[in-house]
Amino acid sequence: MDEELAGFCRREHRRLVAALSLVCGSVPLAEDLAQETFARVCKDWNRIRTMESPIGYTHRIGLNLARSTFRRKAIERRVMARLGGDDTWTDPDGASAIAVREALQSLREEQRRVLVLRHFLGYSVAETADLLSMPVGTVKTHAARGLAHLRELLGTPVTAEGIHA
Amino acid sequence: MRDITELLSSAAPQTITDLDLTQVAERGAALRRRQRMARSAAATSFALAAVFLFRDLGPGTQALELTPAEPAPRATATVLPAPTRAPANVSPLVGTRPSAALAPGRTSTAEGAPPALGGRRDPAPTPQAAPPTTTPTGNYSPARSCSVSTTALTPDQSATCRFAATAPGGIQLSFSAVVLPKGKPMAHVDVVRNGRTTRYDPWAPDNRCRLRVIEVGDLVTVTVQQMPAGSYLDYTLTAGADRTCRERTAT
Repeated sequence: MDEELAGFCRREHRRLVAALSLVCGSVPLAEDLAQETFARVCKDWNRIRTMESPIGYTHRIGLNLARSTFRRKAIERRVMARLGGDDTWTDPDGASAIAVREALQSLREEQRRVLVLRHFLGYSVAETADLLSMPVGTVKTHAARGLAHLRELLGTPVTAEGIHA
Repeated sequence: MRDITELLSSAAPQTITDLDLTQVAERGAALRRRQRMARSAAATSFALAAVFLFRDLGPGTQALELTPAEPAPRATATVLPAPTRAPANVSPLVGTRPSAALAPGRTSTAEGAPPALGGRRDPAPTPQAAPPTTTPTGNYSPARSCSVSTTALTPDQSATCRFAATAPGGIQLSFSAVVLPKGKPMAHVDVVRNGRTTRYDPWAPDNRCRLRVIEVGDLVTVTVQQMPAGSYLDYTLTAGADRTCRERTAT
């Protein structure tokens, strides 16, 4: 494998898995999706390396894979078979982290993807709109409704300070 | 008061399995191979379609081979008599094909066939639709022509129609969509005259459109089969009167 590509994969892997796990709610599934994402990047690396934002394109691939119900289910079945049916999130985290994940999973998928792109991966509203192929206004709506929903579910004020459009 | 970024970061998994770069590279290579194969298959299908569509047909009587190894159709399907194309007849093909009496591997020659007239696909629909048989016993209803299409067929599914010719006529194959064909689909027209069956393979270059191969009183069976899964070929096979093969320009 090309050294530049290997470095890119190593550097971006953890962040992509974390983002995908927040979107799809399963770490093993997120790991499989990330691996598939990097395989696709590997396939087209010569083209992707010259792009303005290879990582943006990579995130787009990952999110598209996560969105595809068919592929997600197929991969999930494979993962479940590999893990013997155990798909529990086994991080030694506190109840707070678990509550946040559960709250995230109760959001609509579009809201979840927007929140993860905007507030976890740090994309601007315009970049998020571009990555998700949706209008800027829709991104803002999903972000606002998602935040409001999280506030409701967690029972604590949640702000989006420090995030610029 | 909690910041959303901090909240999401706290919820992200702390333990993540390292990426297996070898697997990524292998999978990437497999995807590249698949892409190359898909491109190659697309090019092949385009070439095949071009051959079928634009081939200049030659004259002469065609020796026609029966194909004993052709797979038996799993099921019959809708018969679409032109021009209404309304589903009409569902009858099992087994036991109804006149050619069943012929020994496997035997070759039959089309009798009395005039020189084939080459031509491109004629999109004109059959003006007279024959009522297909209504019983599975192989009865032939009197009609001028009948037509079957693979449009609504699932992979490997076949459809058939049959009639007793009330007018002289020919056979004509036309098609409109090709998706990754893997070989030639099974299709034939069986003409029974005086107890003798002649089979016409419409995929043979000289048989795609033929005039005057059917005479009044002939018992005609038209059969088409959809391609196996992964391929799709939308074609219509018509037999009977009013075929309009375009005359080949003399050179």
